Amino acid sequence: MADGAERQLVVFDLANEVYGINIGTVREIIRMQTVTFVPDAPEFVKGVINLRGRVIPVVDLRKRFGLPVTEPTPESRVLVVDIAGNDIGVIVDAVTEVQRIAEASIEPAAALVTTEDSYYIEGIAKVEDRLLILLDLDRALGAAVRRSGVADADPAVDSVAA
Amino acid sequence: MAGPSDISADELKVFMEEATSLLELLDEDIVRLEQQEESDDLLQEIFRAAHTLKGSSGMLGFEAMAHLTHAMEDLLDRVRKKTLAVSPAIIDALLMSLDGLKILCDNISAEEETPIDVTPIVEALHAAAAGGAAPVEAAAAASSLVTVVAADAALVARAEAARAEGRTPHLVTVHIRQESDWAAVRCFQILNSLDRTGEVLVSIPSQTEIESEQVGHTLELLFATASSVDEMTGLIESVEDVDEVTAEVWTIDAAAAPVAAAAVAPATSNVVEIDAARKSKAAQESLATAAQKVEGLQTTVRIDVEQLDSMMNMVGELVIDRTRVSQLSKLLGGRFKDDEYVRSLGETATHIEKVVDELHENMMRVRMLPVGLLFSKFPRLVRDLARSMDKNIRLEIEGEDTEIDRSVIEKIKDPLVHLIRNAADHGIETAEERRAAGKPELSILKLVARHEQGQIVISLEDDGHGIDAERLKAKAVERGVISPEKAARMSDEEAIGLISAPGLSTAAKTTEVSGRGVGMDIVRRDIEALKGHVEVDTELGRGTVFRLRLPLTLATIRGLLVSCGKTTYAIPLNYVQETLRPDREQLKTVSGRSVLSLRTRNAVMSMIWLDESLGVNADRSVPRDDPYVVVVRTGDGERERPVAIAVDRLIDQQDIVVKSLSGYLGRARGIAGASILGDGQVVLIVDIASLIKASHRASDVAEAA
Repeated sequence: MADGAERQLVVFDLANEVYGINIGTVREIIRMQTVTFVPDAPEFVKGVINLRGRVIPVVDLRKRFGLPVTEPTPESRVLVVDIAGNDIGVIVDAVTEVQRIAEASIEPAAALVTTEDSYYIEGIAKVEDRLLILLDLDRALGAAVRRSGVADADPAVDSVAA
Repeated sequence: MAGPSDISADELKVFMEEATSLLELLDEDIVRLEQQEESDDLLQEIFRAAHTLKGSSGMLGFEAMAHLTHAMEDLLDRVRKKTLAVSPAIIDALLMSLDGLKILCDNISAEEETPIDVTPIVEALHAAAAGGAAPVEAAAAASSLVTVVAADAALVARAEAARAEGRTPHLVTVHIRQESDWAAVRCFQILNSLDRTGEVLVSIPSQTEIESEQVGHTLELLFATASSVDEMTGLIESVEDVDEVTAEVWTIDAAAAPVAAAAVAPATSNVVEIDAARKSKAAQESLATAAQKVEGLQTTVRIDVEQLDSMMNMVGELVIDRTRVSQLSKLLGGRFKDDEYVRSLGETATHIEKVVDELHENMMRVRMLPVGLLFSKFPRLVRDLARSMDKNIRLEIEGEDTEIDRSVIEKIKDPLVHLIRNAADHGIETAEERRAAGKPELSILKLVARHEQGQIVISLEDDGHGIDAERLKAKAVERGVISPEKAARMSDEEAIGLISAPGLSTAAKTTEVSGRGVGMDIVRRDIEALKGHVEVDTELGRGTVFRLRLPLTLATIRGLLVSCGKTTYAIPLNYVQETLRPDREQLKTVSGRSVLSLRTRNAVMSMIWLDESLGVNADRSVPRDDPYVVVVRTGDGERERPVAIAVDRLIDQQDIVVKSLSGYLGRARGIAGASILGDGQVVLIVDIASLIKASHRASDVAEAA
């Protein structure tokens, strides 16, 4: 492995692709939970779950990326991540490993062809014989919310905050 | 002296906490002072509060505040020492200073660089202090040193001895500028500089008093010196802030001498006695304060509200887990009922359940505060309102010990202030009107808090002229709030409901006090945001009662659990009028909309499916012709009407802990929050008001089409 900076990634599968996100943004990885649907929420939000007494939203990453939505399997996991101060669950097909990769092995996204919807790809890392897509979840989820104009908390919701 | 910028955040926090509680105390006490005979204890308490505030603001370098409290202290000191009688002017000046102090406090917490100019307030205080009583005090002051000296044989002897040595004793009176903040320092400087040219035999205030800053703006001395009067006054005048110096040679008065000589023995003992009595009283007081402090330390602890909330959350999690643990232990018990460990687990689970329940209950109680904390601000409000409107109003408060969740207390302040203003301004007649109506001129405004069936009821009752339903209707028609036809059909009760319609005010003129007809709608909205209701009872000529019904706490609510399809929802029980299972013929469709027709009661109400109106894809696998119906009432001004909400199943009623939904979820219209049931399931809490509003809107559109 080349000397120099490294980063630790949580590696997961989603629709036959392998993705990695910075381990720093991941608070925990839990099994799939019963999801309660919330009306009037952004489309890619599947609902809310009970995370040890807290109610947090969960996002269906397949839906966010416009991939076919499937039923959860025993392999499905929820990555609890911190997006701009909110704990948010992200449903993925499976979590495979935690991996260290060298910064040098990352091809930045700027060099790749990007579309408006894929700017949340930070880069591609080549690890052994496979390609790993590095996701910037803050962009993928935070920006999506900002775009749909609901990032600000609804005062009506706050008013019943315990 | 440290500038405000050197203060640590902690110091500032402690100071602000102290200042806030002292200001609240002063607010109450000063109004009490006006109402009651001035008691020594009360005066003492007020003086001490002002003194403490002066000390701590001075220490932290909040000069405007120190300056102002100093002037207050001067005035209060005179009142306390009975050289000045309490008068409305004094009370006004004191209250004005309090307002000034509050603004200064706000400035400090808002980190405002330029505090307000307190000079006018300080001048008002000085004027109040000078008003009428000043000459009395001056006379007393002029004679006081002479008397003290004459009464003290030892002092007379020392003065005469000094004279024999060629140092002439002088009676010196120094006036320090009223606006000076540094009277104590100036006195100290004067004594210090005089020390070099002679001997200060006695001073009022004494050296010790000066060192502990117990000074006014006058210093009196008996000074023995070989220097000339001019030299001496020059020396004193060189000290900053000195306004005026008078000096005369002291002689034991020919007339006073025999009296003094004769009185020496008894007078001295008298002085000593008084002094001793005063000292012992002071000692007792300081002991009492110290005891109070020690006691306070032992019984109460200040706690950060955020910390309390996070503890509450953790207890909430425990409550959920304990249910899960006992469920699991029951399941295990069923499967392995002979296993010793499983049995012991069961016992432990039962114990945990008990302890967690108690913890939960205690935690809820910790969040409760007596509503008196809020009410204590109102006597002042009413007093000011009455004075500004030239009415004679007495506020009577009952049930101030009633405990209520602190988050609720914060949120009912504005609505209550508004109701009180309304009552004082519109509800209660002017003195002439009251006389004409044969009512006593003094009107009573009654503010009562009490518990009633798991709710807090706060009522505000005035004995004014009541609300005129006809006038209200006329006004509403005039303002275009309702049509004349509608007004004609309206019952009085419905008409009274109009006061919370936006844009209505029945006062003949708008005043500074109650604004321009905005308000009652806001009061209603605020109270409903707290899951409460506003009720109005009024009788023409007799008065009006506003009743606020509020939940005990916002952290938990009583919810009716219902299900639609596979999803469970909670409907806040305070909205629920009744639940019923209608017959098929009671369900009708009128111009494309579902209605529930209760022939027996001659009632027809619109019916909505819970899941459909929430925008959830209705689960059509469940037959929908046999629903349960939850009838809810909604407070929407004159549109208040019951609505039937159809659901598949009624499950249970239970206390649920309200959790807010993440802002990430967007508006989530129709949803007020979420809760977690014992089995870990997340349920959404339905926001009845917004759900109904949305369905009204939809039906209005349908009507228009």
